[in-house]
Amino acid sequence: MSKERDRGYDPTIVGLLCNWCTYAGADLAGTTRIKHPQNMRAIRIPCSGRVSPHFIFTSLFQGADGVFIGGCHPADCHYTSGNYYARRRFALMKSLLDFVGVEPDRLTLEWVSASEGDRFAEVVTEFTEGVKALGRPNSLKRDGLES
Amino acid sequence: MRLSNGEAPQTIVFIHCVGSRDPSKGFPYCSRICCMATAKHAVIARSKLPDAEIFSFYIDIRAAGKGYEEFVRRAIEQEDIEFIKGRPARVIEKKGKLVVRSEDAFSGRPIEVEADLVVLTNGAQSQDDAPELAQTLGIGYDQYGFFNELHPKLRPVETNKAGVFIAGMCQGPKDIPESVSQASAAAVKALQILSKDELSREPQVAEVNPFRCTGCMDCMEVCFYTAIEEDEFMRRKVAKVNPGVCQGCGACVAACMGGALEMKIFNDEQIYAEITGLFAVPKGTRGTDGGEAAHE
Ligand SMILES: Cc1cc2nc3c(=O)[nH]c(=O)nc-3n(C[C@H](O)[C@H](O)[C@H](O)COP(=O)(O)OP(=O)(O)OC[C@H]3O[C@@H](n4cnc5c(N)ncnc54)[C@H](O)[C@@H]3O)c2cc1C
Ligand code: SF4
Ligand code: SF4
Repeated sequence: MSKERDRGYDPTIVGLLCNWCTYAGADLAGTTRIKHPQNMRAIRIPCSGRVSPHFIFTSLFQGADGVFIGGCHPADCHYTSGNYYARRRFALMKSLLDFVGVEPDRLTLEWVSASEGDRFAEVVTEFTEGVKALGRPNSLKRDGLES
Repeated sequence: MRLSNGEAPQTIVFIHCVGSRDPSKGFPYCSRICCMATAKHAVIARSKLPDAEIFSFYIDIRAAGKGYEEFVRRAIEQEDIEFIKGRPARVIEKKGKLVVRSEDAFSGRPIEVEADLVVLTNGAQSQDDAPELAQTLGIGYDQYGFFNELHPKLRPVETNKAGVFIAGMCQGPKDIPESVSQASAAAVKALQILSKDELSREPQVAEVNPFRCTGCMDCMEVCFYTAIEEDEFMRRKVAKVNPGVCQGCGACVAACMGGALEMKIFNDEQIYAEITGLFAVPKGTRGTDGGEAAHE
């Protein structure tokens, strides 16, 4: 499969961030002026357990270069167990992506608490770099899907 | 009085943390009440037996509470209770006496006390059938059988089941003042519900579309709050969300294969609109440079 590898490109990353932890962690990174790449667009969700595989596929079909899911640390989930469901679905999603020919590294799940602005910046930077290295577009991107 | 021979003991030894703070021999947690309860018992013993020798072996004294440290000081300084920092290794019976062998951490030397009475302060532990009760009520509990609060800081007497509140030792080791504070809070939380003619709730709840629901009940499995029940619709089994209990986490929505479940806020339509909106921006303006990403 040949793919245009534009190393210097600016990836677009869809961030599905739990309202109670990562979304607040992202806010904290901002208010404490911690620098990180600006490629991720944050979408607030009530819980990482809310993330349906459809969200991930929709993002990839639309042309997202990466999908970042942010949830509460194990045992810290606001809804007690949502992050465990997220973790299980994530593992399945990774192998499904591999199966359909998308680099599994385009998807990540990170635990970031509301007090971890620095960690937020760190994991976002790392993920953005990884996605950049993978190039674009992802093999699921479909043109003319814009709604 | 020593029960075995009916005589007043002349030497009494209290041993702290028996079965607490030691994952290899008991529970890893601190039982919280024993330092103070032992000091209290030792002081009571002193009032009955003015001439007895009274020892108290401890790991460290946990007297965090209003007036608590002062009480322990009083036991040591005015009531002549000898507090020894050390964990007794064993108690041996010898000629009718109980020999307590320990180290004395401050002098670094072994110490032996021949006692008439040894009092073990056993670790606090949950009732054996606590998990059963928790399962009946549908509330969470930890590996030691203590019930879980909804949030350790912000919702300390509520549980994951709306309308079920906890207070006191069932939640974890604590003393009377703390139990009473929690119980008062729990009572007020219950009154909040009972004093109203109508309940108000967060609008963020899930809802089943019974036409789409296949009745597989996968959603029920993932709902930590037991907000989903079986219902009947057009003579078949369907799921139903109790909106008074639902906390709006969305786990069921993601689990429903048939797309029968939907949230009232953070619903699929909204989230898809946010995702597709990101990519609807004309080329070249997306990303860091343009700054006019459609989101927010
Ligand atoms: C030796 C000792 C000394 C102490 N001294 C002090 C002290 O000096 N000062 C202090 O502040 N604290 C002290 N405490 C701690 C104090 O006892 C507790 O904080 C307090 O009892 C907790 O109250 P509670 O109502 O939560 O639990 P409990 O007093 O244990 O009451 C629970 C009740 O629930 C009942 N129950 C359990 N399961 C069920 C069921 N399934 N159905 C119906 N009923 C059920 C039990 O029978 C019990 O009556 C001491 C504790 C001990 C062990
Ligand atoms: S998972 Fe969906 S289809 Fe299955 S019972 Fe729940 S709502 Fe109905
Ligand atoms: S949204 Fe969460 S709490 Fe509400 S019914 Fe679904 S799984 Fe249960």
